[in-house]
Amino acid sequence: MDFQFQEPQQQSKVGVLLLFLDSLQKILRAIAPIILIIVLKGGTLSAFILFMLLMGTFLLVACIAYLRFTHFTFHIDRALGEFIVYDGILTKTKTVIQLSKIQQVNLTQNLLQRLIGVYGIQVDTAGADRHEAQIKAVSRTVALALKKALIENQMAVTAEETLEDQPEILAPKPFLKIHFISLIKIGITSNYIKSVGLILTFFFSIWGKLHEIGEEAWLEEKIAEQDWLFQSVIYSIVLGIASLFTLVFLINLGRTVLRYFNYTMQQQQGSLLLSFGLINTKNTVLRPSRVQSVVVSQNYFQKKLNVLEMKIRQAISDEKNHQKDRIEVPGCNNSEKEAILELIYGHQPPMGLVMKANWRRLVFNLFLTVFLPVTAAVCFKPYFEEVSSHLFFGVLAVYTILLSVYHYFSYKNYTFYVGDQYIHRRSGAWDIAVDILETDKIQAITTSQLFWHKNLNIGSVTLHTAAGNISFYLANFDTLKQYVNRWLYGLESQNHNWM
Amino acid sequence: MEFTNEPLTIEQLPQFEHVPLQPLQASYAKVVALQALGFDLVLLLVACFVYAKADDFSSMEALVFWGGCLLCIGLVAVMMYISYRKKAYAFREHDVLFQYGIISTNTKIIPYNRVQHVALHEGFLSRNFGLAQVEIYTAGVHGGDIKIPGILKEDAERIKQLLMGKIQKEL
Repeated sequence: MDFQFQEPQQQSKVGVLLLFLDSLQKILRAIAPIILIIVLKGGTLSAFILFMLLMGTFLLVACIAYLRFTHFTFHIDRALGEFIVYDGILTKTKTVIQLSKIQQVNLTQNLLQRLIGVYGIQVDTAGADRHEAQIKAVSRTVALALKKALIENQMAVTAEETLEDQPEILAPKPFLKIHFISLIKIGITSNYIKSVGLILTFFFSIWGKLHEIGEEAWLEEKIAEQDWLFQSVIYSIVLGIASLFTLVFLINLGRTVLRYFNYTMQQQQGSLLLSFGLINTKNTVLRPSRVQSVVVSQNYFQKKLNVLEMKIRQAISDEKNHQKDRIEVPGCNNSEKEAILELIYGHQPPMGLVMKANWRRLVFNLFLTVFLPVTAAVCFKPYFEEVSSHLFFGVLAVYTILLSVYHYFSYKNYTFYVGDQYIHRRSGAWDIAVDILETDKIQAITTSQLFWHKNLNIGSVTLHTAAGNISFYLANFDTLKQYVNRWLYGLESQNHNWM
Repeated sequence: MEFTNEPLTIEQLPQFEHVPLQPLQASYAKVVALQALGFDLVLLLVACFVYAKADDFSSMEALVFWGGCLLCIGLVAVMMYISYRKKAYAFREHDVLFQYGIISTNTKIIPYNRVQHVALHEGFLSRNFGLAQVEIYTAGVHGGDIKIPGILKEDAERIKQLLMGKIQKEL
């Protein structure tokens, strides 16, 4: 086979099957509500209609899949330095990508692809919010050869540029692998709020789908039926909370394991190669020179279990899709964290001088989130006559206590560590996050002071980087300004690369 | 020549907070005034519309309604004026400073070696007064840019040239 990809080629033959299943599941998902109705209504006639509908879909999808397969070709034009992909049956698309513009080539393998034994390829360039080109099904040898052919050119360019900047990261390093047990630990100790959100979204999307077809009464009925099962209110509340927690637990666990299964990190030509995922295996490249800041977060349970989460933020290449530039390392232990930091920075970033925020920060936060809402609630109390006073003030008291405790701890943790080369910021009440920022990565600095804080000499600072902002609020303003002068001196007297 | 390399202490570093800042062109006040006028007119129109739609206002409620509207309109004008007065800038040897804000005083500083590109923007109103806005962009994602309005067109052009020169040199 020609591995130079000069001639237009098709995907591998078994790819037809993949395209077929892929289209089929999309269509089935779209017509699921209709099928649901037919099944719900019952009757022999509807069973016949259902059968015909499914058969029709089947045939149609098979045709489409075959045509999609035959109309999809790709090749590399060496003379022009372009990667060209032809796609589309009725509306034909020709995608041309300059080889020099290619940033990442990812090999992916989801469950379907794994079963069939093919790989997908995603080609990313800077400045596009999605994958520039996507090939769904090629064999492993072709995939690897194509990746090599696409990257070859780019490596030659970047190697020249960055060779002298980062000799320290060229040394070979053993790769890092996250154990299954660490993933379980992370799964059960994090992202509770996210999972609750997911459950709600899921519930409401089903509701929405049913509403579209005018069958939401069916769901309402089901829920109403459930309610009658429980005799007492307290019992059903407790049961509801317990089942919600179990669900959150399971979803968290499932999601973390599915997403990050077999997480490995290995060093390759001055960058880190990451691959993870059970159903969707994702491969990503992390270039240490593109890293703008690192966040290490850990809560009380995770500390006891010796696991932590890391987020590595790279320079944002497009505004819409931040996720692509944010690499998460779930569930590594302390020594693994140190190894990753060493790979990125070449050494352990030293903590600098401690700086605390003024107590007014705590008071201000309490004022904003406790005092104002509670006062407002008390003022509007007469409008809620049907709510009993006991319940009303009970809820308010619980709210006040919870938020006060939250703010107290988040104030206690809120610390800025300023060193010559690195700035750390510790924040959070339960999940305690430490942002690590290299001073060279600062793009702009904003200092800010409210007019009534002038005489008190307190103010805030925001450090703008290519991966987002890091702010520190309400600290001694004179000290902050001194630091700003020092950072500026550091930035302006040398000309370090920030990317 | 005697070579010295004394250690620098923080106090000896140049201090951004003591740099004399250049206020915006006085004629920009007219632009701001016109903008405030336009905004207030829109507010007034909305208020009139709401008043006409809801016809069951008692005289007391009408008084409160119009009082509130006047307060809002006055507030917009005052805030835009303060915002104009507070804006000031300075170009140092190695960075650009821009002060802005209404109830807070913010100072944004961009070192020249972090500037990605510079643009001139002429608004519809500003153009009639011979003014332009200098926009200085960095790779910073949220609010890493500086936009200095109310600069004479020629000055803005010169500032742009200066910055372009600096960027070229840094590269």
